[in-house]
Amino acid sequence: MSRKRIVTLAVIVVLIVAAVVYFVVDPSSSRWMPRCIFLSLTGFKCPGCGSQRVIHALLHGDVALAAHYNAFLLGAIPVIGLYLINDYTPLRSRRLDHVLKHPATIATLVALMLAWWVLRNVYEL
Amino acid sequence: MRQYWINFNGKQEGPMTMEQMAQMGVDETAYVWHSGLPDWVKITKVPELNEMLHNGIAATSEQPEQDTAQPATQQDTAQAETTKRQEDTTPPLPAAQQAPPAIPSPQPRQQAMEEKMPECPPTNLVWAIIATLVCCTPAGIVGIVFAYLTKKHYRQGDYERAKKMSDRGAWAIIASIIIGLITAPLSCASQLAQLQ
Repeated sequence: MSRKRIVTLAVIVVLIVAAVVYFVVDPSSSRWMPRCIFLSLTGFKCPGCGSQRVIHALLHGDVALAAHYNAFLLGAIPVIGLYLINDYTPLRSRRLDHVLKHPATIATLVALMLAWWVLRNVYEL
Repeated sequence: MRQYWINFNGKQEGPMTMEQMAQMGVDETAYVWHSGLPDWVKITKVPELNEMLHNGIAATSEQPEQDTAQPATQQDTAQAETTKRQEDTTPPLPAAQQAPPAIPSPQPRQQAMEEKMPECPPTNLVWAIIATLVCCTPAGIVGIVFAYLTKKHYRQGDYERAKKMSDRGAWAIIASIIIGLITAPLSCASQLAQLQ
């Protein structure tokens, strides 16, 4: 088996295990699920805070609840999916890659993320 | 001053100095050769010419002759100064052996560049985004910034720098994951401790 195959299989296994864990355990009421280290240290939410609860909500099909926990992450999931598909599947397109990894695109992503980081702490999103 | 031969817009000219080249209005599609190089190279691969393209002639014209700094040309001087002089004044040998890659004019420049340069080093962008959103924000964002720099340098034709930024980006993501893996159990432990 090639190394690439092993890595792919390992990723799939980890994803399945994680999905089962996050389906069964509700991070908002669990006492042992990890908390964001940035939040614990500073008292401010990071751009990713709520990601465990978002995954739990999505696995139960509750999109509205997921949006309540972290709307930015909910919006980012399709974008991340697009990047993953274009990087690692035969569906990849050179032209799309050119757009997705254009410096202006990346700069926009960073700007959006930083804006979300500030706004969610100001308006308690 | 070092003498260059240039292949630009389908025409081969030389020898000429960097100043003359700048007056020609060359751009990054040009190929050049100078004594010490084994073959024609993209103009962006010659550091001083790449600088000239981006910053104009003023920034580079003051630079001292770089012949001694390059191993290939050091050999030349070691062999025989006269041979080098000869080489400098005759049309380059590689031109006779192998014509430089022609640049078809109807092709868009961007596409021509992509074909001539090695593939862009991985930006690891998607992993940097994932690391930012689930592992550790500061290191993840550093990873995204390195992805940006990788692409930026690559588009400017600076492959070496792009590769360096790509590697650094990978390390930022690894750091992000490791910080995440260390802090998650600590976080769990502290929560369990609070219960008791």
